[in-house]
Amino acid sequence: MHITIERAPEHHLTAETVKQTAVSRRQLMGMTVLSTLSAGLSSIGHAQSLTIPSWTTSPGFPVAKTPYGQPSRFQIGFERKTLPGLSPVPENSASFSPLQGLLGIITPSGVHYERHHSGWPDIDPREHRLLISGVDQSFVSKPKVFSVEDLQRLPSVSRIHFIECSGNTGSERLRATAPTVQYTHGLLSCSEFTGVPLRLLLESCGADLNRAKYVLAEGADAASLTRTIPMELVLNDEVLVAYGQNGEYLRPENGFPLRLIVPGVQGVSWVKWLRRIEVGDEPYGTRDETLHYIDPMPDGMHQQYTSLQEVKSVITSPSGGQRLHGTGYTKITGLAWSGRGKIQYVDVSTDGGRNWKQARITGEILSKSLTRFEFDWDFAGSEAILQSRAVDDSRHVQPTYAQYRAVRGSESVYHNNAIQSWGVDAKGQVTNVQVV
Amino acid sequence: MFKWFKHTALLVVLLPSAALADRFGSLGEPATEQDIHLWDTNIRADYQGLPTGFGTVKSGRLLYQQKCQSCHGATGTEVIVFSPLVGGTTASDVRNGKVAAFKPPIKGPVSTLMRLPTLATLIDYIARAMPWDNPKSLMADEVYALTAYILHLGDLVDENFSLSDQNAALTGQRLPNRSGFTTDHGLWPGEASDTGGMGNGLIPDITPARCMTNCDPRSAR
Repeated sequence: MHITIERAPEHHLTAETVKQTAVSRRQLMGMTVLSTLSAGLSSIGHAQSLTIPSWTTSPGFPVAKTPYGQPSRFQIGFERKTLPGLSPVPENSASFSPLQGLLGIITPSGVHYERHHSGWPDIDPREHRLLISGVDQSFVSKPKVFSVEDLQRLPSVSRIHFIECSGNTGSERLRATAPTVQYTHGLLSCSEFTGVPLRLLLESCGADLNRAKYVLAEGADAASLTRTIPMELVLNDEVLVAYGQNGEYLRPENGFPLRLIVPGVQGVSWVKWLRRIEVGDEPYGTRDETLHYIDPMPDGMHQQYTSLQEVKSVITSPSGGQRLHGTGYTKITGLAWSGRGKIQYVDVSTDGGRNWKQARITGEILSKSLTRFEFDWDFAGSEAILQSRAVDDSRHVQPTYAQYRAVRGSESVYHNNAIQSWGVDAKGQVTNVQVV
Repeated sequence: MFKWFKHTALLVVLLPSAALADRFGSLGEPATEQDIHLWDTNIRADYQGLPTGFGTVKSGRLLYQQKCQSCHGATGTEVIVFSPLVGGTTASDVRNGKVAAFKPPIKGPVSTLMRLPTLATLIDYIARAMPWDNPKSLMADEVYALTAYILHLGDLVDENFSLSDQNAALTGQRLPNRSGFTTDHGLWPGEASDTGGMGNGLIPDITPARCMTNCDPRSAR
């Protein structure tokens, strides 16, 4: 007896399904969950008996047929997707990474999630510059302008880190809404980044690192997106000015030619198309620190400069929209991460959070990086609720929705790190549910 | 002895990097005053960087009709493209400095003036990112005029009001949500407030136990 997993229906959210429902995003997705799950695509078939296939009896294609290689044409549905109705302006919107198909921990650059605030510019790197200066001359004695080439001549480091939009999983703050893990958790990616520690550049510009408390990072996009970055992460050499991602230059959608890397911190602070760093002693209170990326709390106050992405995990398979055919052994797999450091444990429950067992980590455990876990499970053809729960090396435990909402309420679309549940019915259909 | 060791270790760590910085000192061009003036145009929350200039509600109205109204609507309360600019605030909010509508459940669209804690931020954003299709095209006087008009649409200033670099900070004291923000939380990964930074030094607000058997997933504890 074995199990096959049917993929989730793709492109199941259309302009029509959006129109059928209210304008509000939460209602939109809540409706769609119920109406689209019956539509499915067939899974990869199993050969009945061995044959000698044609590719074994004739030569294949020549070398360098595609100078920049492409994925197999049989890898389908492994694409960024937009959510109809998320934003009326596609230049100020987001696309979600296909976590359900991700293997290991590295996100291929072509399916890295996107969040742009005024579209992505197509920048000629020869015309791009990075200005480093201070609020006044006393903070930076030798302000400088660097070309991209200048930066590439300097000593570099390469590090693997996750990046997560603070709005990731925001759709689930009130109730289970999004149909698949791509939409519930897909504002998440993980890459190897190559660049220069910002501290090195600041020292080269004569920055007063004793008085400096914050740096402002500004992008070269039309929005001139700006964020306040804590000096501590600069001083301990975590903050990088990166030009490389997964072995090549950054993709334009991810900030080419320069992006600030701020490990453990929400994606909006990883300023893309980085063109300016200012050193100062006060936080900046920019638009994206006052009107957006702020967290309304139950007492009516907003938490400001909330930046860290706390310990979190999600099962990527089986996950919403997929269907288990048959009974018996199946592998539960997923991702865990924490902005505080390394993942220490991941636990999995198949009974909705009553009983937990420790999962295995399948690869390296890196600080502020995605970590892949797996768990052996026998699907008996009876109902189950699958959950994962991560614990990081500061011993911080990922909360349940009950624990999360008791403290933070349900108004903030940001920083939702509560435990995700996937319901499996007796027929093997997997849906997004919440245990409340 | 321990202290001496600590200082030595610090020197060992710091000296090479300082030496390296000198070694790479020739990389990058010195930025001129003109470079900095052209690119460093942001205005900080404490109004550092505010450009000289002024603008009236009346001139702002005309500019708004020409450059803003198609997206933001005639009254600024409409949801045409993005969330509304004004609306959702009361005279009592203006007195208290805290918008009562943020007490959950938050109903209806949230406007810019409902959230905005400092006027510097609005001036900064309009100057660097608006209008949507032609950002950085507005002169300082135009930015002040548009900001004044938005404040007027939000019933915060009368139609004879003029906003300038001289009265911007004082005018910001009328914003209805000026006291509606806190940095007392565990999500700021920098220096904590008790030593001059922000936040509580990454102390988590939700601290579940790692329960393994017979757990109650519905319990908030």
